[in-house]
Amino acid sequence: MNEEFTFLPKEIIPKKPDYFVWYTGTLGQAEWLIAFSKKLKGHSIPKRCKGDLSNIPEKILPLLSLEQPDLIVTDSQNIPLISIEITEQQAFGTNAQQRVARFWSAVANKIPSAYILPLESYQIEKCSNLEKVKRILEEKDPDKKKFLLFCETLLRIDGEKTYDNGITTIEELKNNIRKGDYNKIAGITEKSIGQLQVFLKKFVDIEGETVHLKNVPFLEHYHKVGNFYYKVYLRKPEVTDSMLLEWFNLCSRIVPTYPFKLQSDLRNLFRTNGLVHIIDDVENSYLSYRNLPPKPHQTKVVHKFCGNEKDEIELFFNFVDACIDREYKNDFLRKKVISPGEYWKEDLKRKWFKEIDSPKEIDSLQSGDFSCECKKFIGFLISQGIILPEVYVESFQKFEKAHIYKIYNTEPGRGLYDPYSGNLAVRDILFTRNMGSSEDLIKFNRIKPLVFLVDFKGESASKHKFIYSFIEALFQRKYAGDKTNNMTTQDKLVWLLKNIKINEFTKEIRCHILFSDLILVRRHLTDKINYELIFGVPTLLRIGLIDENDLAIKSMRL
Amino acid sequence: MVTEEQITKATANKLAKEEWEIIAVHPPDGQGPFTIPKSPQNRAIERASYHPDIVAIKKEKGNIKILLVECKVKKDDLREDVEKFEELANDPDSLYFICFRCQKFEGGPDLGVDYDDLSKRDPCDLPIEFAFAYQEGTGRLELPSEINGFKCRELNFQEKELI
Repeated sequence: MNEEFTFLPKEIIPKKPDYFVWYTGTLGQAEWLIAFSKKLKGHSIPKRCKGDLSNIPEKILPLLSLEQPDLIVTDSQNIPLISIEITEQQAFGTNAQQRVARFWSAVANKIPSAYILPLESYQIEKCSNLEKVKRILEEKDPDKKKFLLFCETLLRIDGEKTYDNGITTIEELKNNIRKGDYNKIAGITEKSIGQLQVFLKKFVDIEGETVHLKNVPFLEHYHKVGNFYYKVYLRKPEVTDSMLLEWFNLCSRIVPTYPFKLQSDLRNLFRTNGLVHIIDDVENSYLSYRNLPPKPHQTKVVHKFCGNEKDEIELFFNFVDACIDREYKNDFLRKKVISPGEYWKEDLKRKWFKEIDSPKEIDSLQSGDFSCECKKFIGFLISQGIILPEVYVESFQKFEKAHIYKIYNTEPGRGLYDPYSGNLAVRDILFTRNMGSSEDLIKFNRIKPLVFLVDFKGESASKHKFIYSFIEALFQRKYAGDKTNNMTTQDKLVWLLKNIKINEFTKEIRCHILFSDLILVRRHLTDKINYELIFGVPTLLRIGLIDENDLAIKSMRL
Repeated sequence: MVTEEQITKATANKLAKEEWEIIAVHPPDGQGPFTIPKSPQNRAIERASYHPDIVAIKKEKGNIKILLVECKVKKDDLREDVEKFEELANDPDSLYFICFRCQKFEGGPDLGVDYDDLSKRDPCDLPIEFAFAYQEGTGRLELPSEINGFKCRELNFQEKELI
């Protein structure tokens, strides 16, 4: 039965497995999962997913149709039980959401999923503000130097000015923050003192039922390495991460979709940016030296609410075993982790997109999210000389507002696959739907259309292949007929959606056409702007040009 | 058939027996936590950072050594790894960064280098060594015994040690 290579010891390899652990990442991850799951150990074997997905049973293919999660656990009949992703990189900036399309397929098919990731982490980065860093590191007064370094590890405090204002010791500064007295703390206002108080409480004093990552010791904040200066700092969830957590929050209304925190440790600050791994596991030597996540009980308990005494990895394995039993009642403390409060504040939602009166305001930012009146947006497109067929205009005008996700690109060699496939999957859930427990994601019942607006500038304006060229090339490869003279690129996309599976679409356009009601490409050439316009799956379903029985749509369902 | 991960695991096991402390392992196709930024002039070539397959540290006769290892099943496939180490050994900023990552600090690991001291040394005097690991009898590639003054060693394994 087991023809594939495995490091698992013979005594835990079943002759007749009850479960399979399909892996697209590393064999080590699959064996780590098997080793610590009570349900899987001795009852399952790892199975490698080939890169072209040619060995994947039809029964699980829809879960891999957009992107491939690291692990999928199935029963012996290949019925999927849980989809899992593991990453060591902390979600950051626009990359924070890039893996989300991997979970979207699981949610769409009501299969639980788990994402192990560092919600907070230590970062080591080159410094940009060299003059200030040098000044602090060369400060002659050792006490003042300590004070300035401490200030640098806090949010937005101007240490030098604060020192000149008369606050000269770390304790004095901490007391003023705790009291909410921001008058002498340079850089801090009535508005931001609250954030500073929260930071001090969570990351310096470590108070509360959630054990957050300890702030970097101030003496380790700046370092000169060779010819460069580096800063070592704590990264906590910000705007894009809050969107990610809300995504899990909303999707969990349909099926458990939970993140688990990969906990870092100051002890490993420089060696691995704080990340904890299994290095040498005496009990399970087959897991040693494979850069695997920690095992249960290896890291500290971080969520102590509800009397919990389990670390995140133990909770993760409890969740995996519950999913294998198809038992979804226990939320394993996740609701508090993903809901506003502990890791992100509700008021961050205000930063998720900008409400604009005029579509022209879109050009106030190179990239970002906007919401504007749908009629005004359509009117704006028409004013630019874009010809829109009436049927499409009507399908947009029934909505009050449209959500516009704008990006820009200047490098033709840089594809729009990562991170935008995931970013669009996030926006599909956060901004365009009324997410209830019975939501069927594949029906794309919109309350607000999603527009993906791509500005190509510089060399990209004339050379980037997104999106017409990609559709045309795919059509050429797939279409066997000869009557293509009167077909527009939009018609060709409709043909493709009717005749090929979603995973056969090149990844450069797959998620983009799936999640976007409209893709608008603006090519900023020297003397003019050229437009490319494609209506995506949600619009095409809405106006009936494709339906759920068409192959691309059908292929997303288990 | 032997896999690269078997070579990596066997190498780490062997080094651990020689009392090296394994700091980080970068499995094939996986993620590696020990990254070393490349100098800007080298970045255009490929990745922006080095990710050695194994990083280990050892105290011997009062001195601390850091070892970087590249692993391949076939000896002949190590050619690019030799070039990678040559590039690294000639990049002072990267060499210092390796020591920076392996430093001792308050609350940190028991074993680590005194980075403040090392940062004053000439890069050629940093306590770094390189190694290449492979399956025995898999090629004739001549591997260097030193690169830019840094000692290099070979670790090879018979098939029976790997399976």
